[in-house]
Amino acid sequence: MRNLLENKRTNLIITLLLVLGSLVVVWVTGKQYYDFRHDDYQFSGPNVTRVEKFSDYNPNLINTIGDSDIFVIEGSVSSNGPSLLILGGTHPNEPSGQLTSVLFLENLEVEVGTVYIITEANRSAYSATNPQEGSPMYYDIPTDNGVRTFKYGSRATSFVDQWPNPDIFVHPASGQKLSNQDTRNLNRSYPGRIDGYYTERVAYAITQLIIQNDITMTIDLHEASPEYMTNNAIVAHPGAAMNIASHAYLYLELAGITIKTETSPSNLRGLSHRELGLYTDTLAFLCETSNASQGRIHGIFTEDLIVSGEDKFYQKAEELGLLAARPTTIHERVARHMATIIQIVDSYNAIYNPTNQDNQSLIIQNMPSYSDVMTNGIGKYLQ
Amino acid sequence: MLYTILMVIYLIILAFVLAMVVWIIFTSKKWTDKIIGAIAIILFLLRLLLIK
Repeated sequence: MRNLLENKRTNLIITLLLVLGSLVVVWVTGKQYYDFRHDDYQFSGPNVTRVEKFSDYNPNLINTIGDSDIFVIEGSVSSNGPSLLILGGTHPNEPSGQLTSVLFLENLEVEVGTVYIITEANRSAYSATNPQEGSPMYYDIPTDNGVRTFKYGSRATSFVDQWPNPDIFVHPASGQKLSNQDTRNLNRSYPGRIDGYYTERVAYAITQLIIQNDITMTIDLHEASPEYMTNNAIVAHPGAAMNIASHAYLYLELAGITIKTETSPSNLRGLSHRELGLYTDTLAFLCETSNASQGRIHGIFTEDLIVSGEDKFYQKAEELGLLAARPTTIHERVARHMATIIQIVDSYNAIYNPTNQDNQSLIIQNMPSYSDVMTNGIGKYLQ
Repeated sequence: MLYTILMVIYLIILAFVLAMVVWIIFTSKKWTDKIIGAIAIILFLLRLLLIK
């Protein structure tokens, strides 16, 4: 083989072929990355009253990838009264968070009060997947109108939008030292800074949205690997939010939905349920469901893993009793989030307006039930 | 301003290293050098293009 390279002409031809091969790979992979980054989904809902932008709350996000949409649904009878922010897409590798927000966006009717819905809280994290995970970039949900494709992204802001990052991230509001990768984690960046790192600017916009609109409740939707302890849970800020979470827990359990509540820990800073409860008047909640595609134990990363949650290694781990929560289908994860949101609202109404005074309850309707989604799948309720 | 200067320096270094790799691929008579160089070209070129 080496003799081939002794010949000058052959050496040149082989070298040119190798370089050409490299250029082909650059073209294919570069184009794939560019297309994925610029593949913009246009979400919409039939009852949306207006669409705001993150840049309305932080001008430093104008003309950046972080300028996400905020969908506002005002009450048809009255927009006065309690309000709710549904926060989806903080971590794009936790798909049921975004899917649940989209389900509300495309179905929800509000009678009294106002609901704000964000489907892509960290749009930069939707522009790439986690390095070295080998994950799919998309997953499909069959609907009555055909197959609907959603992006599967990364946990954190892309390096393209935020670099360089410090080796140790010092959370500005508290001074707590966090890991380097948390500099790009939206859920460690609250309350944010108007001119901080890209991720902090996004967090600032969301915090300002809540403050300027005096949003009553904020529910941040997440997923966790099945081996992670905080799973199938409502994490709530201490005090009033925890009271509501406890009330919601009882009624969810009575409805057959196993869930637990946890108080937002005071020694871990930057998270939505901690900082939004501290720096705004909102009642801050964060919900977790069990997502096998996020874990460390699974085998080959396929689209089916994202949607079905089925994996032989996780099955074995479950048999051995090593998991905090059973991996479930995306339909069950969305159904769980949806039921939890609806119950949190009901619990708020029950605690704060037990006599049903006008404009004192958040009245929402037209959402499918937990059993509807479990039976028919979420595709039936997507546009 | 500092960021821009650093970025320009970074890209110049990148382009220089890429040129060196291409030179090695063409002049070396070892298969391993050529194949590893071809792989390295992919990484350096993608970085140089700053695809966004």
